[in-house]
Amino acid sequence: MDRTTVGISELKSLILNIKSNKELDFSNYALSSFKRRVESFMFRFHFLNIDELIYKINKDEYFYDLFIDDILVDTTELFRDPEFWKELKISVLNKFKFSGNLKILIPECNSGEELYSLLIILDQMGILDNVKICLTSLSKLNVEKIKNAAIELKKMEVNSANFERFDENGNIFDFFTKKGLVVKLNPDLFKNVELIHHNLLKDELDEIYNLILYRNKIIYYNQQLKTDALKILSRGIKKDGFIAIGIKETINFPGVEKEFVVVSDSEKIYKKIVIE
Amino acid sequence: MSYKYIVIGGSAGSFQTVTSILAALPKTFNMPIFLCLHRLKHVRSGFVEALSIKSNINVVEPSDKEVVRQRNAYLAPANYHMYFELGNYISLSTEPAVNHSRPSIDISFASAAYAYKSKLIGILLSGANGDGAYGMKQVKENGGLTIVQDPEECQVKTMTSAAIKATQIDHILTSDQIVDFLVNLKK
Repeated sequence: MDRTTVGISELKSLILNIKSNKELDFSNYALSSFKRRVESFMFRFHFLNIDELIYKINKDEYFYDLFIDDILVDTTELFRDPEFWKELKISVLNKFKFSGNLKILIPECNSGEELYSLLIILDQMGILDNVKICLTSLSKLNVEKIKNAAIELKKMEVNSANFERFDENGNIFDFFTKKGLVVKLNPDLFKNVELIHHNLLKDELDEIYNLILYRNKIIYYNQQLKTDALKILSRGIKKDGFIAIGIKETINFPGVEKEFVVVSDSEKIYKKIVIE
Repeated sequence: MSYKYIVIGGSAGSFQTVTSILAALPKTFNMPIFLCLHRLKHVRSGFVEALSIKSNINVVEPSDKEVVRQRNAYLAPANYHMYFELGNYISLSTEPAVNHSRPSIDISFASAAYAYKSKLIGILLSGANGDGAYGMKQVKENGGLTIVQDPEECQVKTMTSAAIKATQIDHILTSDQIVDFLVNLKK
């Protein structure tokens, strides 16, 4: 475990510096977990104080990308919460069987697990051609990493166990090719996927979507940023479109009950009923 | 007494001890209790219900950004880390496992220690790995009170022994003594 400790005033000076020099704003991130990730990064790269880190970030563009890549949290499992994916298939994706040109957004990703899980289900259902999927990430390095679609073999034990809870007859390795110590997702699954480096809190969304997968992202924000992000995304959903958030999250901004109905309370899937 | 928050860590094997603590505390016990117990990551329900059966205080799994209230016990949800914010609310996280654990006791204890400083009591129970030792050190260094279950009484001593090695422990108590200690805190 990390052994460097950083105080709130030091964190604030780091955040302020990144905000003014780099166009990313961490001011409204949940401070507790942000603090730990900064500490753990500093410990790993042998920084003794925050000024050294700030200096290095400003001086070295690649190192800054590395820092951002590290500070943003990955989804660490394929098919995390198998019950969620079951419910998504039944209540949402089954409806996608009968129409084409459907658009799905997976915003603010730092790793590809949510995308890969979705692609595997769509492939199983034979409806990959019905959808266009857009994935966004705040980190350039992450976009490349997600495109590469390689997962360490040692992580596949958890992934495989999750998948079997989703589909007891399924074998997750059917969708991957083993290459040394990693497995790579079958590239055919990517034909309708676009990956972009984008910040939805800064730049408006161009499209509106039939489904937005946004699980376990706002837990890294404070209440204000959480509400802001949900409001922005809610404007990006078509009427009768869906949004899924993490099972321990809530959509609770004022007036939300007029915009969404609950599709699944336990799996936190909502359907948009009005357009503003 | 100036303590206002309690954080308790252990592995699934300490379930019995946690149950007896919750059963012994009176309804009027008003310090929030945070429970970070190692548990199966894919079993989402059942744990809160099992802990609630004999408990006099309300046991919940917090949602993200839930405000901490008196007379509640908060159980870290399966497959999430549980953090505490300076504004007295809870943040959850899906960051990688720490000490092979999510929830990790080190994360919850260190975060509680930073947020609650000398108002915090950290209690570490029986467990099978070293998770919690660093957290207990943080509790102590931030002015909190540290209690570990007597390793002689623990099914598995690894966790409590690691904490005793890592930092100064204020009290080494049997589970009955821990219960007595907490019940008498408010008298």
